[in-house]
Amino acid sequence: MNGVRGLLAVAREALASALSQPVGSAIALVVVAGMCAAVLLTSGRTVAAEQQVVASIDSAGTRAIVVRAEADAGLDTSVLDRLADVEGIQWVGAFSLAEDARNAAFTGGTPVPLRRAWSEDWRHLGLPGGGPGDGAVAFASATALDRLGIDGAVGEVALDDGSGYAVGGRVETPEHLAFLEPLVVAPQPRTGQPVAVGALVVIAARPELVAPLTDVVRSVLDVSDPSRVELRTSEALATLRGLVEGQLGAFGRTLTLGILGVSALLVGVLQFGMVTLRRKDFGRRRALGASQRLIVALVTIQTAIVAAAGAAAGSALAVGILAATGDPLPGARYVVGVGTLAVLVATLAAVFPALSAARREPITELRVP
Amino acid sequence: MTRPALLRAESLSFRYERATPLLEGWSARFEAGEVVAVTGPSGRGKSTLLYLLGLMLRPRSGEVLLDGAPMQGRSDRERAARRASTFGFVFQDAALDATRTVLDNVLETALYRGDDRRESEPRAHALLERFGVALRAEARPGQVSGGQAQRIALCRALLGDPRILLADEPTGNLDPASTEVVLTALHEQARHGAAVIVVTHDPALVARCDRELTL
Repeated sequence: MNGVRGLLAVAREALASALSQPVGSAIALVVVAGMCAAVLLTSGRTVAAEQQVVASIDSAGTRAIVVRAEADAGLDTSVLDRLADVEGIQWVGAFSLAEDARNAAFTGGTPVPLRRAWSEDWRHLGLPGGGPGDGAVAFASATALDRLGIDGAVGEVALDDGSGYAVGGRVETPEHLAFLEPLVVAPQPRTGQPVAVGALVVIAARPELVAPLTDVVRSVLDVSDPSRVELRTSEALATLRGLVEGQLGAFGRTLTLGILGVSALLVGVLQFGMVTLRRKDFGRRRALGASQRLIVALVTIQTAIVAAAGAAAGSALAVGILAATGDPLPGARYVVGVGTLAVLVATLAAVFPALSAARREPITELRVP
Repeated sequence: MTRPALLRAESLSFRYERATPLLEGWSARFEAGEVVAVTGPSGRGKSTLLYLLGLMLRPRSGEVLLDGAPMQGRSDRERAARRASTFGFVFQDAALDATRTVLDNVLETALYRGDDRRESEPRAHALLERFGVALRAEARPGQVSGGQAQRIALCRALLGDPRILLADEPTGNLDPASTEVVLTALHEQARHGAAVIVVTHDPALVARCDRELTL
């Protein structure tokens, strides 16, 4: 038999051996299932909670750096050029100072702040269209449309200076632009002439980049009066993220290692007992021609098969319990990872008993009454 | 140049821990095609001799030569491979795996030889048929009689068509009819070119052997 066929034959024999010793196999299975379930119900639950918190922190809103500038602060659209080559920025957009816009269909309507906007990527503005066009179309959020009294998201708004914009549709206000609500935004094409900016929004690619990017953004603002500029960041959230990931992660890892360690000890002791009970079996096998390597392979593969069944059962049980109690699920990768680790730990724990079984004198063992 | 003996024992000595020495320089040679009876009073090391010849034990001193090649210094892996490929064993108590079926027991050594189980199954069934236990193929050893168990052990020993068959009291628990079946099988294996070495107290069996070695 070649290597693969030989390995399959050993695996088949190990499976048959596991099935022929139902009590021992059942105990090992329960131990490994318990190990997996314990890990998933304790550290798995912690990991799931951590994942939820981190995912929440990782949202664009918490990665935003918002610069608010007063009219005479000197901030203009040229800042976009200076930020264009900075690494670690996911999106940047500039907004003009707000101008009152009213529904052009009637007089005396409720004024809503309209801002012209400049960006290289309009998807982050949640605009239904692709680009800014000629800059004559504005988009409004549901709140703004309601205040303007525009039904069907199509209409026209007029500014106090007599100019106006067509309203081309509704926008879903992204989280990082919530501070601009009620939002009416008119995307503008970039021209060579700098235009005054009242708000600049920079979204960092990753939470940990918020702090260094804040310094970079501050350095490239190039404003005439820094005291008229306010810069807000989610740096504190990024720090919180690090704490959540670090402390909860460390707690989960310690717990997992502890449970795996105890379970490995249990599996090892159990296998040692099983090997001792099967002395005659191993003696016969050795006498009939099984090599020490084959005995080690048989014991470890048998343990791995039982452990795999136990890991599957324990994981299914734990996921079922978490789902039934409404607790957050740690994710398929974590569950598979814990199961794989449990099988590896159980198999490793069986190596010493396997070596012990293989090294015994065949005839001495065969003569055990 | 004379052809080396199939199996040779050279000045074998052995001693179990805290026990009196056995064999003490025992030598013999075994040729293909002969059935040799090893006899002697209990405690003289007849079974131990079988284990030494079958490479299950290593002698304290002396050497076992297989086809003229010394086996003492060989690795465990080599000796195990030789046990599986060259030898067939019938133990005094049959030594069957009580948790597996009769068929599984007969097929056990196929794994150790590296033979495909499916390819070995027809021969296993044929042997069970030949020794009158085919109907018990799916039974457990605990469900068969002592005589049947010994015949199943013989099936297991013959599965790999061994060149050397070692049998320890193979007819000890058998009725006359079963004894005859086993004796016929041992002689048949010898006729096929195997060396058959039988440890026995049974004078009838000794009388049917080609020669007798007394310890």
